[in-house]
Amino acid sequence: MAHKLLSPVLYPQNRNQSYFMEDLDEKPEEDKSSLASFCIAAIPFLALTIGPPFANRLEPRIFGLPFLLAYLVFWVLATPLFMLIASWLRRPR
Amino acid sequence: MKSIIALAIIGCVIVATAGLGIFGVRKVKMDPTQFIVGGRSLGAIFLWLLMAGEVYTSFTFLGAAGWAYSKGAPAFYIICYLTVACILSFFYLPPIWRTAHRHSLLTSADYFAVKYQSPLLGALVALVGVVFLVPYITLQLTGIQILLQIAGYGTIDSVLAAGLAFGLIVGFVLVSGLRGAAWASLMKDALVLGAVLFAGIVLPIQFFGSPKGVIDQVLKVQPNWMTLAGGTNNFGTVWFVSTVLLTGFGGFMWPHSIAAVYAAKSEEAVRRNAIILPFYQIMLLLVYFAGFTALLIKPGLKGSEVDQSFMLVVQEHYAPWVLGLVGAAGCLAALVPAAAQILAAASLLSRNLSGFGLPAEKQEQRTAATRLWIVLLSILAFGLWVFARTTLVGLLLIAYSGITQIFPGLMLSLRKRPPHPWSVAIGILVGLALLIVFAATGTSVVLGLNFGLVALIANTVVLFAMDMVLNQVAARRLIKNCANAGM
Repeated sequence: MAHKLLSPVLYPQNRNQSYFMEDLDEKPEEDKSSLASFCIAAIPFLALTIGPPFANRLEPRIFGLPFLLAYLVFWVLATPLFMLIASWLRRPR
Repeated sequence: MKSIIALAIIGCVIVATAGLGIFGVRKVKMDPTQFIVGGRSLGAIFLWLLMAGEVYTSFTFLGAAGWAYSKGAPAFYIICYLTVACILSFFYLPPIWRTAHRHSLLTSADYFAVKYQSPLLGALVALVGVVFLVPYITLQLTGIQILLQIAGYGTIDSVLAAGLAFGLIVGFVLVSGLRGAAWASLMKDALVLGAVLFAGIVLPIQFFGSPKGVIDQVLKVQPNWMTLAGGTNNFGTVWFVSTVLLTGFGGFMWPHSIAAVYAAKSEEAVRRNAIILPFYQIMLLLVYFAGFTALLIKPGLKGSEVDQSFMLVVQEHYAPWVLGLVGAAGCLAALVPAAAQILAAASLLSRNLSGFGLPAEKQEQRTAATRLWIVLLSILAFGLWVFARTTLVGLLLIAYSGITQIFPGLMLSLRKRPPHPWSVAIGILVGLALLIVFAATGTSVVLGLNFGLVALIANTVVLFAMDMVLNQVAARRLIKNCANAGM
């Protein structure tokens, strides 16, 4: 009994009874992310990951915010815009 | 009297939210797909509510204010990493959604099982998910307890009260599943928005004239509070970058986040959600203001008390009904994610770690099994929280880094030829082993880097190395077999 229950674990190739039965050989739907959309998305990504050490300053204050915080807030707010452009640049179906 | 007003408001809000969730699903027949992933029917708006509801927990708020209070600029990583996670998710979540949709997947471990054609790898991913979800669930319990303790002005048994609130939410999730959590998120997001506007704008204006005034004051007291220490100092710039990267990679690795992705109606909804989710971050800016204000009004808090800083300010300076509303927002911010987390952990247990080979026609039993696991898991989580809280702290320190160890395997599954499932499994195990060593020796920063990123890099290197080795072995065996067959 236990052996039967464990069979999908022990013998993964016996995928005849559970949700593994759908075939995986059919071609995956082509992903339509283009190089251009990657490049556009890379801008806010880099600005928020490797950018902050270079914006690590107090002055100039922007709307009273220290420069570092203002820089981060700017990029957080700008990200949706960049991602919107990235979604336009995806290859049409 | 004060405590009765505040606690009554919190109680009413929690009951009303559970009611809203149950009302929202009254006509839904709960097969596993409905129960675990909301019937894959959420449009962009509901998906946004649910994701925001799950990602921004009470500890995003209490913790962000606490870090602003106790550490200053390092707290800013929180505003960055979720944005980074959204940028990445724009590219990798839609293909995952497609696979989930095509193969009717319900859990994050299902994805690994199907993509790598290895239920064993799926079981490992499920185990990792459950092991790190349980401490995360108990963290929400701690959040509720802190809030109820403050709202009760110290007059009630807060452990018991937190237990009651938790029990109510478990009952709620048993009835309504993921759809209920999505409905509850609606209430949670509205209340949290109100509370954050109050804490981040009204509070600073009342005490210092404006948010700008708070920052000026903080800089007078602590000139270095708004900038990062340089280089490889603790919580310096190198730490900041590595933490944003690690947590950005890990942003959607939690089982409940992936379940939310499966709940989307279309891959377009997933993509739209990735575009608009960063807007939610601006709330965190206000939370920082609240933390800074608390630092000035009530300095000198230590240890875990810093997470209570702005709640204590509200308790001291405002009417009980204000405290009640802010506390209710905080409680929902703990309970809604807890509901989704329990559901995700229970579905991993019922689907990937037990009940193999249950035929598809016995779907009713699947929902029943998941419900049973919800009950067992909730009792376990609550018991651990009450009796073994100190040991949980160790697990919590590595929870986020731990769950992120599945990231390399998830990314590489998107390649045309995914790596060998064993190499993914060994990579995960190496990453986890390193994390445990770091945690046991009390290291949280290695060469200025966040230790989670170090483990993630080791994981990835091992993954590639093992993949090469395993391919070599397979090739040798093939050649040998061919030779034996006289070919």
